[in-house]
Formats: sequence, structure tokens, C-alpha cells
Amino acid sequence: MKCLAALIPAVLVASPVVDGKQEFRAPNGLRVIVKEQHERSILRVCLLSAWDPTGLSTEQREHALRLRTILSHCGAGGLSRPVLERRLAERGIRVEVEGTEDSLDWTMLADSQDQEDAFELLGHLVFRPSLGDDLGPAGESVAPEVWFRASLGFPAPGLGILGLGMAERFALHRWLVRPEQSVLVIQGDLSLAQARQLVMLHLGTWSPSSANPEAGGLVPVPQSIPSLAAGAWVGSPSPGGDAQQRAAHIAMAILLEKISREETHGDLVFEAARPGGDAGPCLFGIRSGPEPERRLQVFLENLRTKGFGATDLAYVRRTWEAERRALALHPKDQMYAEARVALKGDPGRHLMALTLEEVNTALRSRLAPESLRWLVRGVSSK
Amino acid sequence: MHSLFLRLFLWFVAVSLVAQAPEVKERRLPNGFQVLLVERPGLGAVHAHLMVRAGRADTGALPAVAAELLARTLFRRILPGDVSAEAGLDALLRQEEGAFEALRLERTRRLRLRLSEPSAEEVGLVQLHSSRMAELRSRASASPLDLLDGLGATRREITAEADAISFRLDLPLASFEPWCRLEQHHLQRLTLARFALEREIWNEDLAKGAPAEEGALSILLGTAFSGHPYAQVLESRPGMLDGLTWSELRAFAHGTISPERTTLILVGDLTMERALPVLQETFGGLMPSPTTFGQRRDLPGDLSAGPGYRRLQASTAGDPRLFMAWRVPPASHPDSVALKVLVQILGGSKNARLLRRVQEARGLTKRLSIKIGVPGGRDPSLLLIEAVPAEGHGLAEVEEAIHSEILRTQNERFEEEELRRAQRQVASEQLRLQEDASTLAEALGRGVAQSGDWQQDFRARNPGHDLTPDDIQAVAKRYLVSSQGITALLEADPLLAPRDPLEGRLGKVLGTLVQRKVEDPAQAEGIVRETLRQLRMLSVAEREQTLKLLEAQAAP
Repeated sequence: MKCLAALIPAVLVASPVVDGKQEFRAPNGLRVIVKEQHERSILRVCLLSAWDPTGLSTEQREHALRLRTILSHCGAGGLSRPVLERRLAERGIRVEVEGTEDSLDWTMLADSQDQEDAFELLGHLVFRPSLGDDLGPAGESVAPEVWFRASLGFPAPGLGILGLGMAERFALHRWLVRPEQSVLVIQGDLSLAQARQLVMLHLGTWSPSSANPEAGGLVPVPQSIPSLAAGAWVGSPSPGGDAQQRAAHIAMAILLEKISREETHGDLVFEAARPGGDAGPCLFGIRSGPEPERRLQVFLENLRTKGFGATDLAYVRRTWEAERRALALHPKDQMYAEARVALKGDPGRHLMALTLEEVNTALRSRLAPESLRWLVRGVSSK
Repeated sequence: MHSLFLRLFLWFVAVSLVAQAPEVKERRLPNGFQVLLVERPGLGAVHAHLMVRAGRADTGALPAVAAELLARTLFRRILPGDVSAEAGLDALLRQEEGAFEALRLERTRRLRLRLSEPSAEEVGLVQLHSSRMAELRSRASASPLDLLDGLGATRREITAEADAISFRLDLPLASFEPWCRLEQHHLQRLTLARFALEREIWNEDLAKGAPAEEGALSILLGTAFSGHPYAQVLESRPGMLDGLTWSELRAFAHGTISPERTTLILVGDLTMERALPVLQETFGGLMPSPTTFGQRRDLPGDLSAGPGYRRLQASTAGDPRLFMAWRVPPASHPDSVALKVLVQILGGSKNARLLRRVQEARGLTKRLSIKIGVPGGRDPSLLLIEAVPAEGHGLAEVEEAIHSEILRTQNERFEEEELRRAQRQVASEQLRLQEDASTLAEALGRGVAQSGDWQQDFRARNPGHDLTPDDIQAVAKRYLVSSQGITALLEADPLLAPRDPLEGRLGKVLGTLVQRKVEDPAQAEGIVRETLRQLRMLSVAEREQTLKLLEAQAAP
């Protein structure tokens, strides 16, 4: 394999070294960022494919999350899942597939001596997956909370593959996982020339695609499910808008995290996702007790009315800066963040320029009754 | 020749694993405070992991969750009152303590007398306690800033495990020194200003539902470690903290948070030369504790004669679950390395024996996992296999299959190739641990807490002795034996908690039929219960068919 790699001419043009990183673009449009680190015999890889979720219908967002489930369990490159996992385990290569409503990413950690195998398997996993011809619809979680989370765009581990036929899976995969909307970040004990050869050899035949899949055949997300156990959830999906508006939503999410950490909230749970630091969906819920809907409404109304203050905005800026600085301590997260910035831009500049009014406008619009989606179990007052 | 090559390869693997251990600089300050530092220059940030070698198993007469409450109270937020004198705070904390205790006693009295209405005194105490809580909340929210937020601390995490409590955070490099000063004042004063608020949050969290896995494991630990603090480490139930006062938790904190039991692990952009003067000036000033609250005695490393094989059957909610466990020596024991590799061979990856043969080939389980050092590693603990049967398979069937694999491991010779693969996987795990500052610090801290040796998680072989298949087989024969074993079969009892209406109807019909033949009601109940368990192996359609047949027989 190594000999074969050496025969491939270095046809790719590299950009100059910036901040220890070198970059090139493969002929299929895949952007590659390489950071050489030769202190230890380790290779870290993060391949991120991302798309604009505001261009997707609710069904397509949910399909994208289901695709992540499929990719975590299916075989690839002609290998069944058990054989694939055995090969990874034998070589001590660790691979994780994660997904959000707007991206899929594969992270890999391997001994740099196994770089050929690692890239070969990465190629299989990314663009030659079997997409579940060995999977059935079994394993689909029937919990309405799982469906609800997915419909908002939260990663939902219990989500199965219900409603996605094989043809739809392939169309969706070809549409979302495309080299020209992907970035590959490589760190570790390999040179730029080696990286080029490995990319050409194992990812070079990954071809662009523009087919848009049909979104039919879905089981609709239940809005209200009668059940003995009461409970209410309310949430809003990822916001659209320009970079400045998205930054305001990121600020709001940082402040919600702070509130959830600092105070007592009874039986209320809430979370605001920040995939790779970007703006994501938010969700509030009460799992039990009397009148969960009303109590949620009161909580949200208080939050909207009270709004945030100048100290909160200062907190957002400080936290953002500190988080960015600390990323260097966590290589996997750092590579993911770098990949997202490369594809989606850096929200940091907009975040630093935010005004308090913009953050409070984001809060009010996000929690406005018309932008919220409800899931109620038990007797609903609606 | 082939064998020689393999031995040489194994030697190479082992040597390379030793070389992969992290470079850790270690210092102990004159007061006993330990510092471990992994230098990673150029990052501009540092990860700090403060670990106290006293966990859920070191709370003495207090419930095990007191350790968790202490960790949360100390580290979730640091307010000005935690690091410097704040007017009236101590008095307020005492008032809340008094009101809470009086209210608890009054409610106990009402329950004893079976009174439905609260007395006027109880109503008054509720108001008094609520007002003190409101004041505490108001003081907490009046602080414009958590002092840690002010330092730019991120990724804060608190854990309370069996052998240690710990606090982790990321800091900008410039905040390292201010953080050391802040933490020194904090640990010196031990005001525990947020005690009542954290108790309230803990009770709220519990009401939201404790994880089913923890509850099931707690049943196993209670039996496996009876008489040892590990028995209670996962116990958590409502009202558990009602008898715990602020003064008691403070006494626990003062006896526990002592420099000779504390280790600070730093990973990041620091050198020992730069960090040491700051550490000496701050943490070096902490005074050793005069008491040793709840501290465990160190037990001998070798296992004493076990209590004999134990078997436990319990009715629990959720998925049926099988635990098969064996007592193993503490993490400091020389056999622990071979045991770790044995765990890898049995269930550490998708190509491991149990997963390949029991789960994949025979499809007996939905989930299967294996762990060592449950619930801790300082004292003898458990090697634990946990399995959830697949649809249509029972706990006994899974137990038999796993037992059969254990016997094969003990008696059939296995290939060096399998050992090599397992060692490589262990090495890969070591590599992964070192990647992230947080996981590296956690592994170093775990080593210190369990065996006093930070290298614990990075020892892939015994010094001077490479592992052979015989070594692995020897530990399997020494420890995975019935005299050290405990098995727990947990599933909803078919009579007490039928899993669906169909099972309820089957139980009634079977009861009617069995009572016609068996006079002893206890014996009849046993027969019905066992029959219902067997019927769970059938599909819904088959059970419906069985019900129809039984109903036809039961008809007068």
C-alpha cells in the first residue's frame, strides 16, 4: 500500500503554512487542513460534512439525524459491521461518528504507523457505507421525547431508521455527505506530502453530488400523545438568520447554560445545544407533577420578560474567549471546532460585537409562543 | 520459529507501551500536598484536577451521598462568602440548620402520632425555614459573579466516586495563580455556604429519577460487600439527606479535606519551576486535619477467603438484567495488570470472546459489558459482567452461556495472537487517555486514589515479566471461581409486577389451574411464578395462544 501511495504524484497545490497549519484542496473539492506534530506517534483525524439546516424541512432534519444512527451501525467498503469493527479493534484504531442537524463528523485516533489502514477505513466509512442493508427498523425508540428532540434538531441516540427506505438513505447520504461541503483536519505524526497521498488514494474517488432527495415516507412527529404519565416539553429548532443573529442565539445559549447551573429549578430541565460553539436548538421540559404545561409557560414568560443585563453580556464574552483558549487542551474538540470554522465561519467576531438589545431580541423571538413547538403527555390544556 | 517471532513481537509491543506512559513531574509539599504536572508548552491554558482521596466509601456513619453533597457544595460555585468573612452568613446558616432540624423532628412526631393535619408549630417552622432558604438564595444570586467564572474557568466538573471526590476545570494560563489563591482560601475556610441549596438541588435531581442502572448495581453491591463501605456507595433514596446537618457536613469536610490526602494534577502550559513557588505559597499553607473522619484502614492486598458463592434474585423495574461478578484484589495488586488484559480478552472490544460468541454468534444478549474495579479499586472490588438478554432469551440462558465462556477461558489454551491483540487494545486505550488533558488528569488521579501510584493506568505489564497466555489463564483460574463469585438475576417479578396486561391474565388463569392440583398456596405461587418466567421467552402471539388454551382448560 505504501509503495502505491508513493506513486501518486503530488498534484495538489498547498497554501503557505499559517499558525502551524497547512492547507490544500483535493480535486473533488475536499478541503484538507494539516498540522504536523511529530513528538508522538499519533494520528488524529476529523472529517466534517456540514450543510445549512435552514434549507431543510423538518422531515429532512430528522432524516439527517437518522442518517447518523445508520452510519454508526452499518458496514462499509464491502465489510459487514462486525468485520469492520474487528478490523478497527485489531489495529487499535478508534473511530466515532457524531451528528447534528447540520453536520456529520468522523473522528479517528490511530497510531501513525497505521495511517494507511486508518485512511482506507475512513474512506469506507465516509463515502462507501452500506447504509444499513444489514439493519432493520428494530431498535427504533418509541419514546415520544426522542422523536421530539430529533424534530428540534437535537442529537437523539434512541432514534432509529424508521421511515427511511434504502433508496432514500443513499440519496440523502449522497446529498449531505459531499466532498465540496466537507473539511478534513489532520493532526499528528505525518507530513504534508504523506497527507496528500493518503487523501488522493483513499478519498480521491469520493465524487461530488447534487441530487436532492425526496423527503417522503416519514412517520410524523407527534405533537400530542395521550399517555398515563404527564409531562410537557417545549422547544425551538436552530434559528436561521445572518451571522450576527446567530451570534445572538449563541449568547443566549451560553446564558441559559449558566442559569441551569446556578439556580434551583424544581423539576424543570432545560438545555441549549451549541454544536461546535454554533447556535443550535433549545428545549425545556417538566417530566412530572401537576400542570406541567402551565408551569413551563410561566417559566418561559418570566425569562422573556426579565431578559438579560450588561453583566450577562460581559459573561458571554468572557466565557466564549475562555472556551476558545481552553480548546487546545482537548485536541478532538479543537479539531472539530477548526473544521466547523473552516466550513461555517467563525462566530467569535460577531459575538464580541453583540449588543444587549440583540441578545434580548434573540431571546424574545426564540421564546415567542409562535416559534415554540410543544409536546404534551397526559391531559393537555391546549 | 513462529513462536519466537511472536515472543519478540510481544516484547516489542510491551516495550513500546512502557515508552508511551506520560511524562509526569511529581512533587510533595512539606504539608503533604501532592502535585503532579504534565507539561504541554504553548497551549496558553491549563487543566486543573483537584482530587481528595476520600470518597463515597469514606463517609463513616454519614450516608455515602454526603461525599457527593460535599463535592457539590464545595465546587459547584464559589461565592465571596466561601473565601472571606461575610457579615451574618454563619448565623444564617445556623438558623437554617436549626429550623430544618426542628421541622424534621416535628414532621416525624406527626407521622408517629398519625396526625393528618400539621400542627401550628409545624406551619410556623415551615415559614421560618422557607424564609431562611429565601435569604440564602438571595445571597447566592446577589453575588454578581461566581468567582470561578470571573477567572474564566470553563468545563467545570465534579465527581464523587467510591474512593475519591474531585473537581476539574480548565483555566486560562493567566488565571492559574489567582485560582490557586482562591482555592487555598476556600479550602481553608470550608464555610459550605451553599449546603442547604445543594441539598435542595440533590433532592430535586433524585425526584427527576435516579438512573435504573445505578439502582440495580446498588442491589448487587449491597450483597457483595456487606460489612464494607463499598456496599453503600450507590445508595440514594429520598429523605436520605434529611438527617444530615450543616455542622455534620462541615465536620466531615474538616476531617477529610486535608493536604496529605489531596492531590492537584495539572496538565497544560506550565513548568514545575514556574508553578512550584505559587503552589508552595498557596496550597502549601493548608493545615493538616487533626481528625481522620471516616477514613478507611488499608486492607491487605491479597484476597482473604471469600464469603462463598452468593446468588441473588430480585424483582426490579426496567429491563431484565444479569450481573455475574467475582471479587478481585485491589488495583495495587500485581495481578491487576493481567486481570485488565483478561477483561479486554473477554469483553473489551467487538471481537472479544463474550461479545463475539454470546452476543454476536448466538444473539443471546441485547447489551453485554465487562468492567473491573467496581465500585472502586482501593480495596478488593469486583470484576463485573453485566448483560441484558435479547428478546426471547432468559437470564438463566445467558448466565449459562457466559459461565461456559469463563470455563473455556480457564481450561482451553488460547492463542498468543489473541493476547497480542488485547494488549494492543489496552495500549490504544492508554493512547486515548493521554490525548485529552481532562482524561489524562482523570487517569492519573484515579491511580493515586486507588493505589497511590499515578502510573496505575499506564502499566501494561509487570516489570521484568511479559504476560503470556499462561499468566492470563492463571488469573482466570485464581479469581473467576465460584468461591469468589456472586450472581444477581434482576427482573420484574411476574406476580408482583406483570410486564403487560397479558401476563396479568396468564397469571390469574395459571393460578386457578394450579390451585386445583396443589394444596400448599406457597408452592402453587412458586409454580405460577416460574411458569410465567418461562412464558416470557415466547412471542406475544404465542403467549396469546397459550392464554386461550389455558382459559379453555380453566373454564368450569
